[in-house]
Amino acid sequence: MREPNPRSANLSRMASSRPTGAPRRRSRVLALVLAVPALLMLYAVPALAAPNDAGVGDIGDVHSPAPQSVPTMIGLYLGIPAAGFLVAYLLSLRSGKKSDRYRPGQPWQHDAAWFGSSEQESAEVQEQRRRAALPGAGGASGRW
Amino acid sequence: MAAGDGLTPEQHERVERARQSAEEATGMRFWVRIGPFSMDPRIEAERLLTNLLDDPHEPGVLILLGPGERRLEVMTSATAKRHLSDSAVGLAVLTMTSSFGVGDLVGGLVNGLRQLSDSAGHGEAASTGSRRDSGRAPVHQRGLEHSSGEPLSRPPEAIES
Repeated sequence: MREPNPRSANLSRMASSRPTGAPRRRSRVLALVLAVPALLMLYAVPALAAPNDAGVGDIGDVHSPAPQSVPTMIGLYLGIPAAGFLVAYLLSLRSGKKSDRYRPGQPWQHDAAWFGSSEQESAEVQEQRRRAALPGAGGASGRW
Repeated sequence: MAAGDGLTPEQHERVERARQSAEEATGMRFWVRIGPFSMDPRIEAERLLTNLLDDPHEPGVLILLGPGERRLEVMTSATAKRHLSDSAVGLAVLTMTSSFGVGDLVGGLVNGLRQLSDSAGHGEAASTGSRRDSGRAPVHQRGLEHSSGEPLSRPPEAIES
C-alpha cells in the first residue's frame, strides 16, 4: 500500500475544514446585522424617553431658539471678521518692518559697511599715505 | 541717512567669514565695502586700494558695492592680477550682479568671494615671488599631493637639487 504524501495530507486537512467555515461566517454576519440596530436603539434611548410634545410647534418659529441680540449679532458678523483683518494687518506691519532687505532700484540710505577695514581706518590711511594711482591694477565692474 | 549699515549681525558674519576664508585660501588681502560711491567708482576703487595696501606690491582685492547706484567695482592690485585675471574677475562680477539683481546682496558677495578665491588658487600669492607670471607655483615649492589635496611628502631639497 502507498504511503500518503505528507504534502497531500496537509491539503486534505484544509479541504475538510472548508465546510465548518461557512456557518461561522454566516453567524458573524447575523450578529452584525442584529448588533447595529441594537446599538442605534441604545443611543436613541434618551431621545425616545423625552416627552412626546417637547419642541412640537417650535420648528420654523423665529422665536425658538431665542433671537440673537443686536450686540451678539454685531459681535459675530462684524467683530470676528474685523478682528481677523486687524490681526492680518498687524502681522503685515510686523513683517514689513522686519524685512529691511535691499530691493533693486530703491535708494540705499545706510552708512557704508566695511569688511577688512573700517570707514575711519580707510580715511586715515588715505590721509597718511596719499598714494596716487595703482600701476598695473586690474579688475572688472558691473551693473544690475 | 538711516542709522546702521543696513545689514544684520548674521549677514555681517557671513560676509566676514567669506572674506576671511578667501584671504586664508589665497594669501591675498580682501576688502569689501557696501555703500555709496563718492566719485567715479573706478577712480575711487583705485584710490582706496592703493592706500589700503601696506606695500604697493602686496596682492590685494577691493570690492566696492553701491546698492543705490546699482554698481559693483572690483579692483585687483598688480600682484593680485597675476593670479586673478580680469576675465576671472569679470566672471565673479557676473555671479555677484546676478544675485544683486534679485536683491540678495550678501549671497552675491559670499558667492563672488568664493569664486574669486577659487580662481586665484590656494595660497599661491603668499608663497610665491611677485615676479612670477604663470598661475602655478614654482616646482621647488610644490609638494607631492594626493588626489584629496593632502600632501604626501615634502622633499623640497630633493626636488631642488
